[in-house]
Amino acid sequence: MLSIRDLHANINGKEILRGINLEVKAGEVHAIMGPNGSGKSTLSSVIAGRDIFEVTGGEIVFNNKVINQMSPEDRAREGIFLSFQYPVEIPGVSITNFMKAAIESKHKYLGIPPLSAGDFLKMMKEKRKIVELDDNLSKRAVNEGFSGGEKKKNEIFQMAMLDPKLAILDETDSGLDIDALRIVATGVNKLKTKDNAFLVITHYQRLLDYIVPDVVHILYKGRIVKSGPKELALEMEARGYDWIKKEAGE
Amino acid sequence: MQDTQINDKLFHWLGAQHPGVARDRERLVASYAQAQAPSREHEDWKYTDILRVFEQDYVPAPALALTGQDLATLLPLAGYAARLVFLNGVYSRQLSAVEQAGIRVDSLEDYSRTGACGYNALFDGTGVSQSGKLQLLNTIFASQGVVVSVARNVVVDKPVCLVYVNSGEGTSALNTRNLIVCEAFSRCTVESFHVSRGQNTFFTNTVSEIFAREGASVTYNQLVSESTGSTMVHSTCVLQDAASTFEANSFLLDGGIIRNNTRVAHRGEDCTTRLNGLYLTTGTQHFDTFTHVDHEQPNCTTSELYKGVAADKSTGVFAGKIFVAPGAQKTRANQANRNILLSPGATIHSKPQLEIWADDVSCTHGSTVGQLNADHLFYCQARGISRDQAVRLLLQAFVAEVVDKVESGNMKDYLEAALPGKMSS
Repeated sequence: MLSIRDLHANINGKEILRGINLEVKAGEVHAIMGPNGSGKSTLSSVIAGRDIFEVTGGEIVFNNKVINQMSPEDRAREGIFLSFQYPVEIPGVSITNFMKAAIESKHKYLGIPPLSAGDFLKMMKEKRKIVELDDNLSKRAVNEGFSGGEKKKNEIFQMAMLDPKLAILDETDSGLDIDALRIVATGVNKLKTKDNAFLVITHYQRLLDYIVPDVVHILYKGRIVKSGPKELALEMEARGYDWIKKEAGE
Repeated sequence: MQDTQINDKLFHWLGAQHPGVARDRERLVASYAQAQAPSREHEDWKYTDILRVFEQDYVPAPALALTGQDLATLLPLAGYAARLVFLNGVYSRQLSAVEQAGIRVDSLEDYSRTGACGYNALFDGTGVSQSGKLQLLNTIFASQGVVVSVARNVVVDKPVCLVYVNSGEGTSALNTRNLIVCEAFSRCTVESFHVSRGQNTFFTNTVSEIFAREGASVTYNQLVSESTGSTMVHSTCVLQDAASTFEANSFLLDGGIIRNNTRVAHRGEDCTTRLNGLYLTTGTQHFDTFTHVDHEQPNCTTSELYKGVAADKSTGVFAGKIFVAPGAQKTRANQANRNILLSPGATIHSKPQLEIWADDVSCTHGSTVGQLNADHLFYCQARGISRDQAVRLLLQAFVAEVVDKVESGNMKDYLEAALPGKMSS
């Protein structure tokens, strides 16, 4: 589904990603771990198409299409979803209108007939339940005045609405207490199918107790320096990142 | 002072059209000769160059005939307590109507001829003629306009609509003048629409004086959607008596050069003033919002929220002053001006000002000029919303805060229909 080959990316002339290779197949959950500053969030932004990063080499192939030049909105419509580490507050735009615009855009792009207002609201109601998102929150402006937990629930709610093929969860666990973490993780697990895939980016192992990965990758200084089964995450938790740094020759 | 000692073309052209209704014309003309021209050297006109209106050649505006149907197509009004229509600056008795008891409307001509409603002393009673040369000019030559009075204790449920339709070729000068008097404890909403039918290159110099008597509540909603060749100076001058409330919401959506002046003075305690506005400029449009609130009495409150969006090579200006006189203790005033620049060639000038001569007051002001937030745009795009649509969505959210100040009515309907189209980048 997602195939990244020798990906290099810069911000303001500084190289952050220095040759990433990654294969994600349908039905798989991949975790990407790494110390702060290793390029985890950059990788998620670059896959989603944020233009402040310049891709200087390599390819991102999604569903057999090279998407390097594709706009962020078209990537989203093709089925890539980024759950933001820091979801932005957009005063004045209600979640309902925001989601309506998003769903309409996707349907138009894919040539699917638009949803009726009734069906749309029904869908909103169903998907809210997945992450126990309060009915009142969906009437409010996007993320405005939400707690950290509510913001992350709202991300997973939007994911449920958009039904992506590939969901990138960028540090979804950051700022969450254990109850919120459980709700978010349960929501994600409900959305998992054999046809979609997840890229879970995290600094800590605890999220992976709930969202169990098939493969764990360790990112360090813009490269994947180690990949392994889910036990690798536990090893990272137990041993810290220093040994990775040593192995990398520091 | 003789008219002959004044040499600008605008003055003489207007004088030739109509002598005006002002009673102390000589004094006013003498003041006019002395008044400082609104050039950019004048602090109040620092950002807007309007001098050419004094020196260009004018022709009479063509007579404009509209049927009720034409008007309904141009500007659908769902309901009104009174509809007062001006066609190319001339009051149309035929299209105007008063539908609610407790409101009296006289044309300015009737008013001046007969002193009909007993408000003669109120003409220029706000002192508007002293606020600038163009207001003085309007006062000298005022001939077209209406006097609206709302009787004591009368609550007018539906809006009083002032409709100005401008259309036609040739450069003309329109000089309209209104007087709105809301007697004690009355309540009234005035909706003022300035719209063009096709293109025109008119210069419109409009003055409205508003009296909010004790305990009265007056809302004044203004909308300008004029053709890009037009030039307009609109001045609203308000006197508030004790415990009155005045709210103005102004929407400058289209035009060439627009200067919108709002002056409010408190003549009694416990007044509330709310001034809000939006200016949206594109192309080479230049819209200037100028407000001045005089807190002359204790225990009065003013809040202001003005927002601007400037695209292309256009210019938006906000200059707002709140003056707190010595003794105006317990004044509460806040002033906010927020602006978005959509292109590198666009300009915003923002000048919020507080001048405080009392020591027990709570006054704040703030001003921001920025671009649309890149993080917001990317967040929308990451959900599949195109960049253009994201811009529209974010701009609509930005302006909604001002639009939401307007209660439901014709103005709100108009804004909700017109704004989405204005938001495309």
